[in-house]
Amino acid sequence: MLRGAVAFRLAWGCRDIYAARSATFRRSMTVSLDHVTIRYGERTAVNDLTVTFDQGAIGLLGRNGAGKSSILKALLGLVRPSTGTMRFSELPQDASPAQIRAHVGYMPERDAYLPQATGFEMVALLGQLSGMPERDAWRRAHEVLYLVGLDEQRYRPVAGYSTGTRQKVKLASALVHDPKVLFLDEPTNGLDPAGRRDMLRLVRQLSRDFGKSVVFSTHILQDVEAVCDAAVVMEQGRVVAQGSLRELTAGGERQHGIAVEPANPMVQQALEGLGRVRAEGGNQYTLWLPDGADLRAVYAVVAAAGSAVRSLVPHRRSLEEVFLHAVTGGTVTGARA
Amino acid sequence: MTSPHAYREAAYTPVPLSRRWWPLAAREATQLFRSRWGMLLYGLCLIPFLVRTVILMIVYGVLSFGPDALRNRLQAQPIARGGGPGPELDPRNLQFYAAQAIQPPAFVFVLLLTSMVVARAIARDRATNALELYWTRGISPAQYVLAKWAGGTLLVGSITVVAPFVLWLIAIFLAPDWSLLQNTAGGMAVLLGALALATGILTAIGTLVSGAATTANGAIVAWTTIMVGGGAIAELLAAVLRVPELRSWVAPWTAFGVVVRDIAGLPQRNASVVGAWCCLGALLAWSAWRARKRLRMEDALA
Repeated sequence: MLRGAVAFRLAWGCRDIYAARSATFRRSMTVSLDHVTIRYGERTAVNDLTVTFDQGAIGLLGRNGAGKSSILKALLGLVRPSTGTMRFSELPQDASPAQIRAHVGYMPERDAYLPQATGFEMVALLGQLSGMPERDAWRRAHEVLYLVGLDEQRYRPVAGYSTGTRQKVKLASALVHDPKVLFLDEPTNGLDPAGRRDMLRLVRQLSRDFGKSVVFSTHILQDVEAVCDAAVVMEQGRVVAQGSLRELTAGGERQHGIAVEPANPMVQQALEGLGRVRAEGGNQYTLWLPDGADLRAVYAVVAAAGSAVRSLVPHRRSLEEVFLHAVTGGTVTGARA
Repeated sequence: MTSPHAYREAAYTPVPLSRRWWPLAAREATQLFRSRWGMLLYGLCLIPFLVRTVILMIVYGVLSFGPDALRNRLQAQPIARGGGPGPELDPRNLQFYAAQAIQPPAFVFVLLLTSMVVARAIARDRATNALELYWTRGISPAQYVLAKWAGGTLLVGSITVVAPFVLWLIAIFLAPDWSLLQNTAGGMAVLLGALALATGILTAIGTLVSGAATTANGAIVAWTTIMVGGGAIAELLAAVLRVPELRSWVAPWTAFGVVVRDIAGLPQRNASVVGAWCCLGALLAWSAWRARKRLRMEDALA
């Protein structure tokens, strides 16, 4: 009888949740900065930055001190830009920091926790401070702590947690009020490989399945490749490259692996007319073609040399190559800088 | 993060911005009771209350122990006129209830409580980077400081305001008739108001000192120096210059008592009311100025 009553109450409670969910599901928010400059005293952390964070997961890449954290803090209203404007779609131009924060979940880079609080108390209190009524905050705190994988540990003081577990609690705190935008500052710091994999999977799920806009600030390129649809590369407070990962890795001189049949010494000479060539031994070659080159010309010159193309495999650049190229002053073709 | 639970959207009606600081204040007020040491400390701070409850019971004949001479003196009617120990031990006099919060023995306990709770409130959050978590939520730094102050005031007020009130209620029910209620109700209300105001000022100074400090231990040292050091300097100056009123100008705890006595209309000697207000006002302004500098978002989070 009692169990039936409890089940009924839970079902009744969920009715409201699902009703509201259909209205808000998959809504996300675009965040844009227009000519933003941030200074700390004499030091310029961000210089005349114009960038838009669309929906989905966007990697904010840069070396230490590139200005990534300053951008996130400015967007949260923690740091006031010296010049420029910031805009969240769906919010008025003159939205107060408090209005903005209600829609944003922030996971700070630094180790941060509430003294003398358990994991559950920390997440629930931060939910209440974000505007959740006590009962909702408590229920939601349990949900998100389960989600990030904290079961019984949630009742232990956060001060005694490992670094990785504190990262999980910080993520749960960022999610507790169900924000539309997530700012994650180095979220995989201190996580073991399994924890990192789970964290990335969850972030990917949040952006792809639940329509959250995720700004993923990191210097770990593999994390961005695993989670993000697009990336913004920063160096010394400026954007040096931005675009979708496909755009970023496809641009510039394109590298191809070619196999021909039969092996023919004339082939290399023929290919040199199209771009740089390196013989890999036997009938294998690596060919660097300029951006926009027509691949049909490859088939034509190989045929003219008396052979046939057996395989032609384009090699995409890694994000690491793009990043290193961008931060060392190179132009990343195919990306907007 | 291997949980089988899926993410769900949350549906709730947001609490207005002006009320979001309250859960933090409530947490601050109950923080002490989360550990055995905290409970022990609070129990220690209740000693003046318990002692006066025993005195009350002896006066009204509920308890009958101790030397006959002392018992007879306490029960003399009225104590002050009959050569008893003084109005501070006479439940029919408001000074009996005020003394519990403002007399020198109470200083030790209030200092202990404010040092461990109020003075550490913000400094401890700074040490664990909790400020970054709080300020990226729906509360402003001003609301955060307000919450810390309110929580500390509630806790310290339970010793300096609620305990005298409870003692007074006990006295009313132990008294043989309702004359105690009739004679002291008005004065007690003013006294409780005075105690609440003075407690609020004292905890505000403590909270702001905490906001200005770099570490929790540094905050405790600074707060203890202000309270104990101020008192020591005041005693020295008063003795050397032979101006006892200087205590009100320099010692925060003496100023606290002078302000309470002044508002509640209780008699006091060698006190400067202006000096007491100036002492508390100057400390408040100085600590606010220091905390404002240290609690700017750019500086606290950069």
